[in-house]
Amino acid sequence: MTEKESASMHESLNRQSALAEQLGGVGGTRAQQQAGVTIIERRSLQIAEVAFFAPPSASEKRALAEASGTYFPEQPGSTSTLNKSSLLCLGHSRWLIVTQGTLAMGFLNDLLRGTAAISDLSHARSVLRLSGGPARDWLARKVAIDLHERAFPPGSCAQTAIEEINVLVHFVDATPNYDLYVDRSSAVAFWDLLKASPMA
Amino acid sequence: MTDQPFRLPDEGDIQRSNPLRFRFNGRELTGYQGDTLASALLANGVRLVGRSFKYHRPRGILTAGPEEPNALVRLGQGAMAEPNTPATMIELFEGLVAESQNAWPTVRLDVMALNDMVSPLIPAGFYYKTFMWPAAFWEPIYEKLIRRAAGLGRPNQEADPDRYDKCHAHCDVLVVGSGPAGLAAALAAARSGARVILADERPELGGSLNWDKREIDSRPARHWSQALVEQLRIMPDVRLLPRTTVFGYYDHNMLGALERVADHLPTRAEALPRQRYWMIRAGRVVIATGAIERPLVFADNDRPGVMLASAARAYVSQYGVKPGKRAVVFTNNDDAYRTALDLERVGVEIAAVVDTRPNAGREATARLEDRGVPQLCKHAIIRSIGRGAVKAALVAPLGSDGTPGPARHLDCDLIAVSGGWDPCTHLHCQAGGNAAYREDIAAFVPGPAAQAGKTVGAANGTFSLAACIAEGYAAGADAAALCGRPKPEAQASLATDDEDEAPIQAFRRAPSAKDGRRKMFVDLQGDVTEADINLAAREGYRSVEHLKRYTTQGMWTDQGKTGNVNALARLSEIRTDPIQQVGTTRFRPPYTPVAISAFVGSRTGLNYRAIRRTPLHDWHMTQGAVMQTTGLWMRSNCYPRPGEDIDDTISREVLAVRGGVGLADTSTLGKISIQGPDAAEFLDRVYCNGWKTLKPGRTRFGLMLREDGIVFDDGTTSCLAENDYHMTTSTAHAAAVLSHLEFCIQCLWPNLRVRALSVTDQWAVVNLAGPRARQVLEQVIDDEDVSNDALPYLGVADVTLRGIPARIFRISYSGELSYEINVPAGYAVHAWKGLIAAGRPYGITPFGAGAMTVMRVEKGRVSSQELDGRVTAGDLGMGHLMSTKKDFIGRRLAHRPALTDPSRHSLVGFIPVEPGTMLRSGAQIVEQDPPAKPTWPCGHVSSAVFSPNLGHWVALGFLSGGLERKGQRLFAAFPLKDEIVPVEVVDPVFLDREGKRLHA
Repeated sequence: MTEKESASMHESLNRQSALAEQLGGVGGTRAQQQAGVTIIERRSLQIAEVAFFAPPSASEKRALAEASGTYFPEQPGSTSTLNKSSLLCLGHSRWLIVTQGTLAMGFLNDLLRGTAAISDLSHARSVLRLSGGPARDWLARKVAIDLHERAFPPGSCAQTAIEEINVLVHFVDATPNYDLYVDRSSAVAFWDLLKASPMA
Repeated sequence: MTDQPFRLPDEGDIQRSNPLRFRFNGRELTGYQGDTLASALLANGVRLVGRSFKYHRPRGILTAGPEEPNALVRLGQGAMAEPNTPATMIELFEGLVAESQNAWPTVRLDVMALNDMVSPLIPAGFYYKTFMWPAAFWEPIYEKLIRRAAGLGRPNQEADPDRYDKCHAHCDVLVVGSGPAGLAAALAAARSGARVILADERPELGGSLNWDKREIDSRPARHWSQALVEQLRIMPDVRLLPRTTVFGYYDHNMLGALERVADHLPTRAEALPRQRYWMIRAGRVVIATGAIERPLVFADNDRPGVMLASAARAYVSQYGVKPGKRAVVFTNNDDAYRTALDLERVGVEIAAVVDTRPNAGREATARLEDRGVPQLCKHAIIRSIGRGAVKAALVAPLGSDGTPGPARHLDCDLIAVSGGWDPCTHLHCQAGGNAAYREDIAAFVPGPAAQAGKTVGAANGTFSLAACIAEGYAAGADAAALCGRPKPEAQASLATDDEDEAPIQAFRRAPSAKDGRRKMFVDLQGDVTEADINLAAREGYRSVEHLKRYTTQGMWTDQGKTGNVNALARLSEIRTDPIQQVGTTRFRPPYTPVAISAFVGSRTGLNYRAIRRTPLHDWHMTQGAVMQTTGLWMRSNCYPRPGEDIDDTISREVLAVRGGVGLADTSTLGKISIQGPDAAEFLDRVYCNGWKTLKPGRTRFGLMLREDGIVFDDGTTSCLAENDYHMTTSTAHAAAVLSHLEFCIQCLWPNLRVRALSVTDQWAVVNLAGPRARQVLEQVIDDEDVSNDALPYLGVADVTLRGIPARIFRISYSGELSYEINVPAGYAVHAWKGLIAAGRPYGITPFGAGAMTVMRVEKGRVSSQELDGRVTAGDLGMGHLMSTKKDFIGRRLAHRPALTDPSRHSLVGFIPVEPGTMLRSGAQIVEQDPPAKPTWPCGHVSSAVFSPNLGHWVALGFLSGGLERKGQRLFAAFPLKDEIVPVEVVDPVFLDREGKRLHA
């Protein structure tokens, strides 16, 4: 990640969503309602994956928490969310930073230089938020992992798949709100799949 | 509208206020809400429903459940028609249309019924012995005849227009079956707080309790079950799945279930799927699937009017239908006496209860006597009489040795048979368990469970109502406890009016009637007779698995649910081995047929594959691009102009690039970020060439080998900064390469401080190529210098393109001056349009994968057609890349003698001797025309294109001896088109061998 790339995080050029045609172009996303489930696209997120070369030290954990603007989730599958930022522990020594605001990539690079690989994925993911009472039931039917609150409480995340499409599921809160991260290139196929899958 | 002459005035649980019209074989009939097609047909007096598979004998309705072997119909019309649907499982709805199968021209007058007359010529396995000569008839005549005659029903040739859904579910306890044991198990588990799924194939939960006239806890059994269902319905974490058949029990307690969501609705709401396939992962499974009544075997036991005793009871009690006017009940156990009493209660005259035992249970006999029903103990039906349906039964006393005495006719139109009950061990056996034989009930029961499941109730051979409930409750409580839930309170035993019953007699087959030539059917659906079993055993098929294959016993859509045990018993008699020694065949999923569409779910049409689109996909579509798939990716192949065909378009695009400038969307290339202090060491190990000397800002071509020394993938890797590398892979191999790298990092060298991550989706890539490429680039670059000195061939630079951050790799696949411009995917359209605008004065032309293929072949670049999993670096002329100074994956095995044999096929070029001749990919290279027979090709063509620059076809390929044969004339044979083309062996680089263009 170069300084030039970090600077790009702040520039004003409008990013084009992979779902611009489906959910509205530049300037906003239309909420879609299906059987009581509201679907919106979370746009203009800054996303970076941090993969440590070894289990992080306490100071490295602090640095990651500071850079992400939230507290540090220790266990794989756990997350933390504060204000508009989330930190998701994807697996052994791997975290995903997601923020609606500005991600200080240069700062992060300086803090973790030599200890972690840092990759900007802001353009690589499309993020859909599913909300509403039936959201869990619908989602639970589509993914192979167990989404019951005993097995997947609020604040959990897991990498799974819906049909052939890789999906990172983040159970944001008990509202319920679920964030689904899919590869940008699969976003339209994923959207078509959502439309084709009966919610009832 | 017609009368329903066999409908009872006030019996059953149908809704008489809701009459429904339906058509069967073109005849309009009526039934009621709550009917099945079978019950409605019986109510209308329709007894002949279909014809049998082999002999085309008339068949009626034998059962009231999924085990039905006879009454299979084609349900629906047009694209929605579905063959082989048991009438017993079709819920009646307004406008239902069904027709009989296996009959022509009509079910009453079926020409193929002639088969029955020639049956001695077509016994079991006849097709293995006939159709042998003349050999010339095998394919053109015999196969067509056999295919026409074989099979049940006609498959639909049209695409299925219905919607299907596919779902996952998790639970602590899955209870399969909602009869007395299943309901009790679900209640116990739910009371403990466990997550429970209760699934039952019937529309209404309750199983046999829906038609059982006994009482539980001083309430009618049906009321008791309905109360339990209501309790379960309001409990948290309980999911009730009626109309859901659990058809498969797979490894790790994963079970497959099919929910018929809308099959019973006359019109389907848009939001509803027709069926839903559930993949259920259960902590524990309680199998409470009940038992299936077994028929008795006697001559002509297949006539319409022969029905299982329990089915006759169900038609009376649940559907309010008299299955006949005068009945004979034929049994070897007490349960059928309940049928006799139920039939008699609703006005069916009982000619006799024919019992093979010397004595029935005292209570059963007393009740019969109270109602004045004749009882014939130690008797058997030795034959049914009638043409299209049963008109009488021939009943004979049984001697002490089982031989029949003088027979007499008993007029009847219904023969209700009961040979005992076979526990449904299907799911238990699918899970890996075996079945064990129990003499006291003359049936197979589940042995020890192979997975985390338990079978209870009638499925476990427990037939008393009270015992079923107790066993189910205990199993539900245990299952919940094993899932970590507290055990619920024990349930007080419930009072039921179970009777003391006399033991069943292991009587399965009546002695033959006098003429002895009548067919005695064992498997009704497959038309397998007792004579077939005898023949198979005589011919040496004495293993139960061999018997099954030879006779087709149990191989049909019903999987022999009503016939298997009788067949095993007959084989046991012939072998004089106990039945448990004969054993059973292995049950496999599905328990009942499942439409393939249900497994497919919503993945049809455009959703068949999860297509990946580049950020520029929509632009390509608006330009009318011809698209192609590469793996899951959709790529533009070319951009035809009006009047152009694809070949012309590709040639135009090639010439435009070679003569000026073009741009292509190459975002599909795999891109992997490799970071870490040990990244260079890591690259050194996974690539066969060296990487430690690569400086920041530079790119190098790399070749990756497999462990066995064969080439895995090629591509470039660039050093962006110290410890930070950017690897590109071919589109097709991107996922495989990343998996390979992860394997290396996690398993081979976990001590290396390096991480790999796919950034394919982060970056859109625009390939700007052609002699004018730099001029176009300079128009859009903000400040940076992209001159040949500042950004030479294989250089990398971070730049901005009119405000868009970009990374430019000066690499060339086409052989031209070429830049691969990477921009964040969300800015791809801006960058693309900016380049097009800047390039317009230079005649910039978008080009697709088609033109790229032509240019890479012209330049002699290899692709997946060449890297086909068989070639070595040496075969590609890249042996020099394999470092001798370091170790790398594939090094040792790459030097095996077979991989270094000079006669190996190695990369060469081919051109046609006659310039106008076309070359084809896949053509085999031979040395003679015509080739000697047999011949071994000495090479093959891997990629062939028309080169508009050279004006003739050029090809890459592999040839034994390789470039040592340069200049030789050989032949490219393409037998599929019956073509053979003289070719000349040439150098594989057809254009710009010196590389002046790409270094320009």
